[in-house]
Amino acid sequence: MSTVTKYPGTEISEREFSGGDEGLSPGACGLLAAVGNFKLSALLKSAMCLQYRGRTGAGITLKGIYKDHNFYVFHVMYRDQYKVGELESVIESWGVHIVESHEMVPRRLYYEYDIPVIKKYFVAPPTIDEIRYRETIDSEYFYILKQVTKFNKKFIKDARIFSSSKENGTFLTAFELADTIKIYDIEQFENSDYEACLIHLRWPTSSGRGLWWGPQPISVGEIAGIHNGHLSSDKANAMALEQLGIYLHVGTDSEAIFLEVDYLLRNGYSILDIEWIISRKFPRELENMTEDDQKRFKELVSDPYLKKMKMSGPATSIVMSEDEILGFTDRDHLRSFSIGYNSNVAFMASEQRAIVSAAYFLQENLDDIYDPDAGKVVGFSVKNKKIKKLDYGWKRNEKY
Amino acid sequence: MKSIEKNEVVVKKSIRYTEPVKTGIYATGAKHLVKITDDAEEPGRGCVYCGTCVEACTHNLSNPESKTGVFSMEVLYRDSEGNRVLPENEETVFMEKILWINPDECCNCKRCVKMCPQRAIKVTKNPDYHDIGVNLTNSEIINNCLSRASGNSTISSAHLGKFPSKLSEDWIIDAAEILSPQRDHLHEYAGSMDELTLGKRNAKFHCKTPVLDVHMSYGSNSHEAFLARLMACIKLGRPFFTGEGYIHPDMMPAAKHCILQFGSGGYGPWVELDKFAGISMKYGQDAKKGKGGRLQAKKNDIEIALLRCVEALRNLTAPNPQHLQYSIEELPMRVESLRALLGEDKLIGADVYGTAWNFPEIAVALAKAGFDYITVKAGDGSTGAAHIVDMQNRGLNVVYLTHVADLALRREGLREQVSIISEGGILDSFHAFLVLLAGADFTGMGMRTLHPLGCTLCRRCHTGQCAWGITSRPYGTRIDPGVGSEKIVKMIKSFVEDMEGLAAGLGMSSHTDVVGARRFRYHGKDPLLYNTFGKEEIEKQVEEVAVKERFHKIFKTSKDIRFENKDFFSSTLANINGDSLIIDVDADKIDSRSLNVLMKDAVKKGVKKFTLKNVIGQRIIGTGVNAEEINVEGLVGNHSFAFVRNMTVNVVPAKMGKFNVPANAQVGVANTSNPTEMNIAGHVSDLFAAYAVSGTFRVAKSGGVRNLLLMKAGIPREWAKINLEKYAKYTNKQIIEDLLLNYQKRKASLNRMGWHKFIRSQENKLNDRKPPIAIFGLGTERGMGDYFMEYAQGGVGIVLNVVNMENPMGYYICSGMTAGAAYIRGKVTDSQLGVGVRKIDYLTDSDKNLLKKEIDDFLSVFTKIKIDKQYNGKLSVFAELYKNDPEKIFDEFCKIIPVSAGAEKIKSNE
Repeated sequence: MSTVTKYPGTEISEREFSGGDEGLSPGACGLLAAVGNFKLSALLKSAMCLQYRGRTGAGITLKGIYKDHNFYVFHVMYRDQYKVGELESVIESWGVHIVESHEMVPRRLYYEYDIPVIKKYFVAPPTIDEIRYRETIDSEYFYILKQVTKFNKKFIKDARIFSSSKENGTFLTAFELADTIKIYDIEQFENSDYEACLIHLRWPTSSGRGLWWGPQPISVGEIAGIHNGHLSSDKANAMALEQLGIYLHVGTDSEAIFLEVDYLLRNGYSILDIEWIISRKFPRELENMTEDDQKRFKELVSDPYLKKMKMSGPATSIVMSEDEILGFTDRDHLRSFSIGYNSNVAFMASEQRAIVSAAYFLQENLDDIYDPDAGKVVGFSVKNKKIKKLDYGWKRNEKY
Repeated sequence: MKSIEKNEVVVKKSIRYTEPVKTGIYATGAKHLVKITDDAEEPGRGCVYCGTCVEACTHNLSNPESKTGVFSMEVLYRDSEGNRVLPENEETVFMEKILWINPDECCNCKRCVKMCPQRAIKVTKNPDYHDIGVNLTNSEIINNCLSRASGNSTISSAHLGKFPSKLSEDWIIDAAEILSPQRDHLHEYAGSMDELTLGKRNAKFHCKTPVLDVHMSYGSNSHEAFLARLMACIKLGRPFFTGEGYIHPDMMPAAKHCILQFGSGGYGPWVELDKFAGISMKYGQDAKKGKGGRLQAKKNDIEIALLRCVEALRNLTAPNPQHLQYSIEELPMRVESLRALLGEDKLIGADVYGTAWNFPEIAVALAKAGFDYITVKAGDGSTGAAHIVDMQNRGLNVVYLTHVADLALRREGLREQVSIISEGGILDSFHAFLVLLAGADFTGMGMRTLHPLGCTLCRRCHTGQCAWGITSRPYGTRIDPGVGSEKIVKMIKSFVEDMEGLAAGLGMSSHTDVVGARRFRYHGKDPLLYNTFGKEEIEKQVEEVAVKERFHKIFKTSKDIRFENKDFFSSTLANINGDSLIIDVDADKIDSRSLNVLMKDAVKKGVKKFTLKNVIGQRIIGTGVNAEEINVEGLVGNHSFAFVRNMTVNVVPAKMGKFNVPANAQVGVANTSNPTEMNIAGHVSDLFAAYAVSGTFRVAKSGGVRNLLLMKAGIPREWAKINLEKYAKYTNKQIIEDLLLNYQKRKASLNRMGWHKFIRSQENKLNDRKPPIAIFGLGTERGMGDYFMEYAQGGVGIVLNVVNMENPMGYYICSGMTAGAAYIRGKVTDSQLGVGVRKIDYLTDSDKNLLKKEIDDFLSVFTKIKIDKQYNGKLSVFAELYKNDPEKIFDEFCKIIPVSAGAEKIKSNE
């Protein structure tokens, strides 16, 4: 499919790309998310004030930019230009059809930055019959999810599919936000039909995966998330997912939290359930809960799988799963987290400063700006740029 | 008696050593030097001849019956002429007090040292015992050879400690810093380890600590030590593991805290089982690799025999294998049977020894069989009695084994279906924490629990002479169970506080974060540990988890079963007629578990009498079903009628159209049962009525291998009356109060009567038991299988041989039998007899009376049933013969009984 083309510059070392055996040393991050009707340029501008919180990686997820067709859109980075062909054929071996592919980064930028080969693919999934023939899965979405995860794990030293949604596009670099905007020409999307945006400015903390693997948002399928912190519960979280057959493809503590939230939403847990599972309650809070609540709480946290999904240690997370965006901190509030919203747009961020400046640049009067209580889950859903604040009892579907 | 004026009597005191009994190479010599200082040597701390040490020391291996151990006090009274007189003699002017020391008996338990009010006793290592040999062949090796050459027993006990613990060096635990902060463990969510559950599916035991006690039996422990441990467990909020000796009736208020162990000996009356927290199957133990439990005859006193339903004062050696589970497919069958018995909310666990190569397979097999927890018994474990070679053979490291089991279960997607308890050589909180990090949900500390009660590891548990009263029943009152339990609680809480601190230091908020986090590394010399934990970090997630495994039908709940079979259930239950119900199984209309659930549902609707028609091999029929009568037409499947009590069972052939289904029974039928009577009009297969506690078993035809294995001596009457209903709602405080009250009563009678009288006062209960009786008619197709009545602990087995087979028996008849008798009609050669039994070729009148009743009943049951033409023909010929000349029939019987009823004398083990 692909012809070998010579890119300028030397290939990126395995160590730089993947972090080598020991990974990068585990810090601080800046998070900003917007949902609803807003202007990207204003948001990006406001995110600049968080740049000081992280300067070795910046990423953006834009929800809705690929909505106008029914293909999966892969953003793939390759460490070694000579392996592109081989790895493309791996992707094709899943039975998918690559409809179109092109480079995402102008050649001239290769002279300026040490960047891997980054390509975009429009991918048509196999038919459902073919999927059933190949795997014990009967959903096109989960088939793609599984293959992407497997690919990323297997070729962790050489490539990463860092965006694989039908709607969203994720853009990552190992540099600052301004560089990310430049490298991917993010301004081109200014007038696209986006309805949510996650921005992450990274100071690497997790024992995760190198310069090119480390940046967030971490996105797979319709899940994308940004996280600030380092979880001491990362092994427990990873094991809970493992036992449910959900695999990490980046392997960081952050990713586990995103996948957990997605799992819980998909399986019909309410926002309150999710809060209880992820943040828990202090024993003394429990004493003051109604009997019914206590019962439900115990039921949830004594489930061996859910029990292991608790988030321990410092964290602010913002997770996007399909049309829902959830933000929360750990129960002890070891990281900052603010929200601000009106009927038109909602923001979640590491600092109020980012929210207020976004509102200012957008000339939006927000109804409310505050730091949610420790461990509280705040959620919004968005459909055609219309937002809804999710109440505690909301659930995506009935548990099956 | 006139009082002696003290100032008139000259008192001379001396401390003297007894003369050694033996000289020469086989003189055992004192392993320890025992020295008592006098006031001249240590002014103020010298011996005052109070005799506390005499009272304290209980160790006397060369003369176990002796009232004294290392110390004895001799007092001589003399008159003015130097003649010995009686103490009360008024002529006494001279009194000589001699404190004799026999250091040869000292085992370094330090009871005397710690009890001496003057601290005058010093026990030290004797260089003459220890300083022999060379580095390679040291004193331990040489003395071991000498001990064997002397013919001493090689049974020893406790933890040998030949090597220092591998857990104490070269491990580092991670710590959190800056990047992810440590937790402040003054606050609630910092490493908290107080909300845990043992068991992850329906059956859960809520625990308030991750450090559990281990299985130690009533019998291996004294009443007081056992009670102290039990109360400590209640106070700590953790289950109490009973070991394989059941629990004393006085302790029944605590049943809901107890997990009973089913060892290969199957000891116990097995009543009120659904009131307990669960059952642990003991498959192995590190301290006696591949061996069954042992209780020396001396420790098997009347009270123990009542509890275990065996004869008293016999060595109890449980067989090495668990005979009902020889292979993997028998594990789920066993769990199915226990689950049927206990219900879904009771725990079923497996205790296994950590094997060298196939441990992952074992762990997975247990999880797939449906066990709720697996106890990994790793190297450096302890025991109350085992051969020294087993203890010296160090098993695998507990951290390693935990890791192996955890990974194996994770790969199978079953890790969150089963809890792991890891134990063996856990010496302190650091070790306990390592084990949790390696993937265990819980850890066990057994030996550690005994230190607060006095254990100093003198390793004389098996002798029954423990001076601290931990493993010696007569001296048990040296322990105050109330105080002892408090000390255990303090110790465990202190250990757990350490662990919480370590977790907090890792930035972890609770137990869940710790389990399996593997935040440690090993940098020592052990290659296995280094390769596993020293080289690189262990992958966060295992690949390719078999996530569907947990949905396997073995994990189905009765709710699922009712839903799946709702039509069959409702149509069947609609047919209840008063207290009777006929269920037409129609070969395959209902599977084994569903049939069991259906019968229980019917019992709830008042059914007491069942008739099951057209049964073809359904398993677990009747187990856990609280009915009075079950009649089966057809073939009875594996493990049916296990654990049934006070039930009448009749199995008769079925006629399904033109097919005849024989009334046979498959493997393990009627195991551990106590039926009113059980009549099977056909053959039974292997292990029929194994571990049977009481009741009458009649089999028209023959039995397979190991029929009547470990048959018991009957159930004490008091057990039949026991009802634990009222304790179900007891609070922990009420339970403790009840336990203490019961103990006060016991202690009062003990004080009044003294140990021996107290024990003997229960002798009538022994004779008040009704041992099980089993009678086999024999078919023409085959004789009885091998190992008939193996390891029987009582009871009667009769082979009637109605078909007049010339040689009706297999090999190893009654092998290892300790009590009871077998009556066999037909030729039995000496080579067919098992170990430790003999054959008697004549019957006494009482034998004949017993046989007469059993034969009459047998004939009245089976002559009425149409079994098959050939059998019915032979049976009527036999009946005729018996009617006409019973004596002739009796003359054709021989009787097989155990040779040695008593105990072998325990000699020094070193």
